[in-house]
Amino acid sequence: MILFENVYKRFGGRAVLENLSFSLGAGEQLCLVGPSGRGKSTVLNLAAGLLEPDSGKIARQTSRICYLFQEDRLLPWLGALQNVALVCPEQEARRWLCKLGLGDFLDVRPAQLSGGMARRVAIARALAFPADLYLFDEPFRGLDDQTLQITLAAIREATAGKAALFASHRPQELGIPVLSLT
Amino acid sequence: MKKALRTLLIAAVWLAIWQVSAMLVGQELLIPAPAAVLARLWALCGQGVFWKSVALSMGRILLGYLLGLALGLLLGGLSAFCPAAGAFLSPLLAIIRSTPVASFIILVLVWLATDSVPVFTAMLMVLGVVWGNVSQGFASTDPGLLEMAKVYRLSRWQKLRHLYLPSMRPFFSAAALSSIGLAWKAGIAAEVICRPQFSMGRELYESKIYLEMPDLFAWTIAIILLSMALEQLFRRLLARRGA
Repeated sequence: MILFENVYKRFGGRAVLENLSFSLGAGEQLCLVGPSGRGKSTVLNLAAGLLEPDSGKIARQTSRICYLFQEDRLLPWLGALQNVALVCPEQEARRWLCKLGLGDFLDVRPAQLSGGMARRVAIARALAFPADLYLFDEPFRGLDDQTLQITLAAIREATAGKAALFASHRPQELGIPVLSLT
Repeated sequence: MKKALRTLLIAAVWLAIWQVSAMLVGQELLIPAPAAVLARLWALCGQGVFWKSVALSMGRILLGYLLGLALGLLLGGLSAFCPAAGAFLSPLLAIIRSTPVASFIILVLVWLATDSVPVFTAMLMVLGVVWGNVSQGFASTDPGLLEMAKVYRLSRWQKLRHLYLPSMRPFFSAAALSSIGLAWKAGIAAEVICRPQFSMGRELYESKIYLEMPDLFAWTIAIILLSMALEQLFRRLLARRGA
């Protein structure tokens, strides 16, 4: 589904990724781990096509890529339902929001939601978008133990049989193979 | 209640300062007393020609204002989304912003009928402010949200409706509010210079020519009050629309 071959990426003279190679086939899932600043988000940005590598090759077999950014990137002037319904039919948006425990907050704008709730709206938007490759950057940021379990179940349902690349400081929650960026 | 009382008190103090100044100068030709001016304003309010002049001046200036808003939106959008057009048009914006309003009025007086000069002048003043602000507003759209729109394949219409327009709206509202006073002042200045029939500017000019100082002050007060009323009206309209 996606292939990284000898990928180099520098920012301001500092090498963030050096000679990175890995592949992810259909139905395979991988979690990137490593300390902050080691390039986890850069790998996801490269995979999403938002960045170009300085050298090396990135090959994608699909153009339908869903990306949950590290920041929520919700539209502050739209309610939760409208934010999710931007990427799918409204009924589908409602279904994912309810699944993530936000059924009572459909019309609430991001500024009026807690950090964890806003994160779940962003996750609902990502899961509602039909994709072949899912990219998740720190999906569990701001979630308490109870909502984490609900969210995990929803992510597993949406990505079953699909390729998914995670960047997370909590790989044990996902129970998938890990690629360490050190 | 407390605020209204304070406003009244401030107004009373300024009226007292005006009254004392008029008494110290002692010549109505230089500073007429507030009572004489208010009496003249009251008398003017009873005349049909006063209201006809007010209505026609407001009509001309509001038309120019609305044209300026529409054209400013159009050119601001064009400058933001088509850099080549923006570069081509930018000297025009610089000229509009830096040319004295009197130069425009005299120049336009050569080209247009006297009735149209205040419309054009008000339009030009508003255009300069709105054009710049709208262009800046579109450019201020959060790049993170634009990346999100790209990833989630939002259509052009969705991007315009949900990203660009809400980002631009506060800039447009600020420009619309600040330029109403500008349009009013420029429009009246144009009327003073080109003197169309039934206009507040013409009345102002004739008061000065015939040295009717209470009339001059009364018309000026009417212009100030109307300008404030229009600004309040537009502030409420924009607030109601959530801008």
